[in-house]
This record gives sequence, structure tokens and C-alpha cells, in this order.
Amino acid sequence: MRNGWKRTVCSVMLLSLLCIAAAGCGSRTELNELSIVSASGIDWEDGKWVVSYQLVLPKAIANNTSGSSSGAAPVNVFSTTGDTIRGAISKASFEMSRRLYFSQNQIVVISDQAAKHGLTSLFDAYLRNPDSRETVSVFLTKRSAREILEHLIPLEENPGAAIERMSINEEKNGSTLPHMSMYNVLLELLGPTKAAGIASIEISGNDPLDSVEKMSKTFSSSKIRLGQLGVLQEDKLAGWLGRTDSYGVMWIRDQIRSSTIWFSCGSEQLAEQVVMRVNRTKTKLKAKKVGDNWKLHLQIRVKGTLMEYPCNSDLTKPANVEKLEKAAADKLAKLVTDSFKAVQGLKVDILGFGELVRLRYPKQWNAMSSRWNEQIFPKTLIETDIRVTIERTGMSTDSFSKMQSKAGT
Amino acid sequence: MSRIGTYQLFVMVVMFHIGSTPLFQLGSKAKQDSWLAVLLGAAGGLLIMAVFIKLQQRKSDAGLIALLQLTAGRWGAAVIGLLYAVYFAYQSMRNVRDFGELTSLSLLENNPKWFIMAVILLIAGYTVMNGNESFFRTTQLLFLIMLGSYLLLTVLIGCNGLLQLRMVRPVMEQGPMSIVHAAFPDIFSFPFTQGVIFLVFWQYAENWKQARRASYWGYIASALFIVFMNAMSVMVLGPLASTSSMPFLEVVQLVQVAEFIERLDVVVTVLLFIGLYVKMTAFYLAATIVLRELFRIPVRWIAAPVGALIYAAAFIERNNTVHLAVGLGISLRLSLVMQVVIPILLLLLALMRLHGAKKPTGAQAAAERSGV
Repeated sequence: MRNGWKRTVCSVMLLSLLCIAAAGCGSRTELNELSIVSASGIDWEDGKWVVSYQLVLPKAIANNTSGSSSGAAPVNVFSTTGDTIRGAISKASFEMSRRLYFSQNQIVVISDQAAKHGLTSLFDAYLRNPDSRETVSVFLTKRSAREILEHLIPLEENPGAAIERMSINEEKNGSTLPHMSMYNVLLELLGPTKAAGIASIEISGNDPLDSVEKMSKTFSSSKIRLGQLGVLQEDKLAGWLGRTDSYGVMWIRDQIRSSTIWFSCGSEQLAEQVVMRVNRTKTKLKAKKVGDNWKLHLQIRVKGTLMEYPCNSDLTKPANVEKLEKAAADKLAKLVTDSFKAVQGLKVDILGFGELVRLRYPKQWNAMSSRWNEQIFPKTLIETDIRVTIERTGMSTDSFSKMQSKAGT
Repeated sequence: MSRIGTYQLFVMVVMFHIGSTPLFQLGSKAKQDSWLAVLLGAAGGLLIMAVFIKLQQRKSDAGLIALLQLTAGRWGAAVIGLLYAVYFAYQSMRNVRDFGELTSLSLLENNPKWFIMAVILLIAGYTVMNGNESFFRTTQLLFLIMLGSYLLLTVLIGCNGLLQLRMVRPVMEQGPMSIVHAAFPDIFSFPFTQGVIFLVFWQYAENWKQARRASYWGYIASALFIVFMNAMSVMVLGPLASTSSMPFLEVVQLVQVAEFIERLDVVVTVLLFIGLYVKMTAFYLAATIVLRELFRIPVRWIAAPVGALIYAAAFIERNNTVHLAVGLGISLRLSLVMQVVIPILLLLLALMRLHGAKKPTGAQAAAERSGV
């Protein structure tokens, strides 16, 4: 019995010892010792990295009303400078009472200066450190990244998260610019053509919305919005594509999820525009060898519904709908061909054309992969095969003007 | 030591082979074909598994030393047995160190490594003290957790649309030889021929015939699982897979479902803890069982010194880079001696003796057999 009692005491002591060890209190982090970074910005100024942080103020977020009513701005922005990115981040301890916590970081904004300098160290920092996650969204900007972080967004407490949602929303409903996470960027840059496209953010208006006072009006003096598509080659910014070209790239890469396209009624009325919502679309790409050159064969199948129809033809007749389908297909063909040429002009293959060549002609690809972007891709050809099906013409058949003229007679 | 049931053995074979494999990108030399390399390595390992089983077949209730004595003689058995004990302890040390490195990297960044490794080794030591029955039962329990978690993670990764088939294409871009080079000797050695450890455990099997079948099926199941996990990592990470120091952790970090199921890396870390624990304890236990058979002293007296040795040895390598370079370099090749060369030699020797024994007259054969 005495032995058993001793044993109990021993095991209880051992267990409590294990509890201390298992709880891992040695590595604990208290919430009030952290400052949560919701967005970060990378600038390159005078040969040094400038890293900016948008810190969430817990009080402002805990308040259920929007930041403006609590009086204080919901976020606080500051920057540190250093020769390396992580070095700059570590200097934050000189001016912060709390440790920077990056795991909730939603977006990284990179200024075009930094992107032109090269982003190897940024990518490395993301791959090497477990606290910086590859799911973070990446954006470029033609301004300084810090300005973007300082900008508040109406209706939202956390501008970082709001920009991410804005980009996701655009990709889902407009599909003009891709939403790129760090993981996607890294994958594309490690792919056969070592190129990627990243959306940019711009500020419209001259009076940035950087204080709560400015938010007290019913309209904003300036806005954060998505801009163009920045094209990265290796780790540097190679050029920009406008929205139309970016939209074409999205069609070629089969990244259209839901969108609207517009086109003219037909040859007789060029000005009036028909609008169609894209319900489903599928793009199939094929690389073909034509003599010494390469050709991208593009097959697009679109199904859509009419949303606006200001023209005169009778839509109850299948032949007229077919005409419209043809017009839509022509418009799309022009769009993708123009975008293809624009991308060729940058000499950076972000279309995945090189990857197709690699899959089908691995031997030839290995021989020319290093010359692809500079020499071969700009000379390649494109061939389109586009078919549009208008599934429904909407709730009405005739256009309003036609109805009026009918009613008049 | 008590008997081990067939199902328990099956679970152990599966858990042991899976172990810490999701921690590494096996066959990354073959790039997008790494899963083929793993498949090839596993096929090679199956042959060696058959060799192990054939060896045990000669006397199904014999321990490793007794088996060695059948062919290598008394002193030969002692020397080779001692070598095996050292090899098992060494492998256990590798897992202890892996455990320390993994924890420092992903979970407890500020805790000293000596402390983390001491805690896990104490747990392993406690299991060893309690003998094989509690170890096999613990593993059985952990198996369910592991199965459920891997299933959940796989489903989530699939739902997230992270799997991209194009990442594993083009198949065999660099020709079949690169796959062979990636598979042999590296994947062949780790983890697929480490099953040599079962020469220590099979003696406790309740029913040898069923145990044999359970071992084969356990091996095949775990091999397919490892191939699947490997292909999944490549499909998600593409070219990133080969440079990531913990590909599976990286994969799971990318999972984001419905804006609230994310940051599941803790689940992965726990899974890797389970795998590492099972493997470390299996090797530790095997070392003590071999030493007990060799010196005929109770496990109680052996477990502590072996544990202390493992613990001390875990500090020899200067840093993680050295640890991985040794582990994926020289250690893989030297282990092949213990995992492949010696078992095959033993089997060949045994076959030659059997073959030779048929020819001589009955008396000679009987004499020879008693000599064996």
C-alpha cells in the first residue's frame, strides 16, 4: 500500500511537470504584446528598401460601427528603412512598443521602383519565414506603396483586407485583372517562361483619404481602385498592360469567371452597343509548329445572355441572333489578338504559351527556352477559333425604340 | 513480452513507413516525376520486404539474434546484432533531431531544442520501458487520428482547387534514367527498406501466417499513400516543392476555405509529431530488444543508457543543414548496408546451406544442421 501511495505522488508530480512542458508556455505570445499588420508596402528609395506597415488598432475594429464614428483612424501606418527587407522590418523595434505580427497580413503592395529594382529578396523572405504566408495578395502600384497603405476606404475598417476583397470581387465579377497571391506569383515566376502579371492599385483624385475627418462627407475626395496589369519577368517589372489588354490576357488564360462584353449590332449601326453577360466560357490553347515559327491556336466557347439590346433586328428570328453571335465572336477575336500583340510587344510571355510548347515539344523547348521571351515569342502567330452562343435574349425581345415605333403606328 | 495481433502489426507497418515522410520531398531530383521515383523505390522496397519475410520464415518465433545465429554462427550473430543495435539507435537519434528541428521551426520558436528533445525522448523512453504491447497499442490509437487528419486535409486541399494536374506534366521530361537515379539509392533506402526493423518485432506476432500477409499489405498501403502525398505536394507546389524544406506544411498553409478554415499547419505539425514519435520509439525499442537478446539483461537496465546515448548523439550535428546533409547523403547509403546488403547476404547464405544440405548423406546433413 505504501508503495502504491508513493507511486501516485510521483505520477502526479510527473504529470504536472509534463503539463508545463506540453503547454509550450516558453513560446507563448500575448495578444497585447503584438501589433497586427494588415497590409505591408515595399518601396525602393535611394538604394534602400523602405517597408511600410499598416497596423490595425484593435479598439477601432472592436467598435462595431465604422472607423469614422469612433473618432480615431482604424489603422496606423509607419515605415522603416534598411539595406534588406527583413533588416528594415527588424528596425521596427526602435519605434514600436509591440512586436509586429505578420501572420494576418492580407496584402503586399510593391511600388514600381521596387519592382524595377528586383524582388528576389522579397520572395526569399516569404519562402524562408514561416510567419509570412504565401496566401498574401500581391499588388503593384505606380505611386509609393506607403501612400496606398495610408488611404482609408469608406465602409471598411480594415483597408488592407478591403483591398484584397476588392480584387477578389473584381476577378469574380469582372475578370479584367487577375487576383494574385504570393503563391501564384511564385509559381508563375518559377514556370517555364518565368513571367507573371500582377494587378496594380492606384489612387484617383488629388486629395487622398488619409484622415477620418475626410470621411465625414457623403462622397470621397479620392478613391483606391484597381489599375493596370504589371508584367514581371524573372524578378523585375518589365512593363504595363492597360485594362483592355489585361482583359484579353484573362480570356486567353481562361481566367474569365463572369464578365460582360459589348459589341456593335451589326454592320449597319456601328455606334449602338449590345451588351452580353458571359455565363460560361472555356478557352482551350494549343501550341503548333509552323515551319520555323510557332502558332498559338486559341479556341474559345462562350455562352451568354443579352443584357442590353438597342438595335432594330427582330430577335425572335434565329438568323438575327446568329448575326449577333457572329458580331460578338468577331469582337472577342479582335480583343484577344490585340492583347496577344500587346504582350508580344513587352517580350514577356505571361500567356502560358511557352508552357504549352514545353508540354508538346519538350526537346525543342529545351533548346530554345532561354531565347523564348526575347526572340521567339515576339514573332509567334495567333489563330483564333471563337464561337459565341447567345442562350437567351433576356426577358424581352424587341428593343425599346422598336417598341415605340411599333406603338406609334 | 506479450503477443502482437495481426491488425496491430498492419497498423505498425503502415505508421512506421509513413513516419516522417511528408516532411521531405522524396525524389525531388526527378522534379515533377518525383512520384514516379517514389513508386519505383517502393517497388524495389517490396522485393526487399520479401527478403525480410523469407528470413523470418525460417523460424517465425525467433528474434533478430536467433535468426542471425541460424546462418552467421554465434560470434558472427553477436557482431552483426551489435551493429544492428547501433544502427537502430542511430536511426532513432535522427528522428529525435528531426523532431527538435521541426518544433523549433514551426511551433515553439523560442524554446531551447535540448528541452524539446528531452521531453519527446522521455515519452519514448517511457513507452520502451513499458514494452512492445503498450507501444503497439499507442500506435493503434494514433493511427486513427492520423488517418482522420490526412483524410480531412486531403479533402480540404482538393476542395480548395489547389491541385493542378499540369504541374506533374510533362511526364518523364528528363527521360526514365533521372527517375531511376532519384529512386535508387535514396528513396529505396528511406523509407522503403527500413522495414528491416520488423525482423525484431515479428517474433511477437500472434499468428505468423497472417502477420506475413499483414506486413505485405501494410507495406503496399503505406507505399501508395506516400506516392499519393508526394504527387499531391507537386501538384500544389509545382517547382516550389523541391526547394521547400517542409513541402506538406507549405501545401497546407495554402488552404483557405470559406475565409475561416485556414492556418491548418498545426494539424500537420501534430501529424508529423505522431509519425516521428512512432518511428523514433520503434527504433529505440528495437535497439533495446536486440541488446536484451544479446546480453540477456532486462529492458529496464538497457532503456535508460540507450536513451541517454540517443539524446547525446542528437547534439553532434552542428546545425540543421549538417543534419539534413548527413541524413540525405552518407547516412542513406550506409543504412543500405544494414537494410539491404546484410539481409540479402544472409538469405543467400541460408539458401546455399539449404541447397548444400540436400546433397550430403543423412548423417552429414543432420550434423550440419545441428552445427547451424
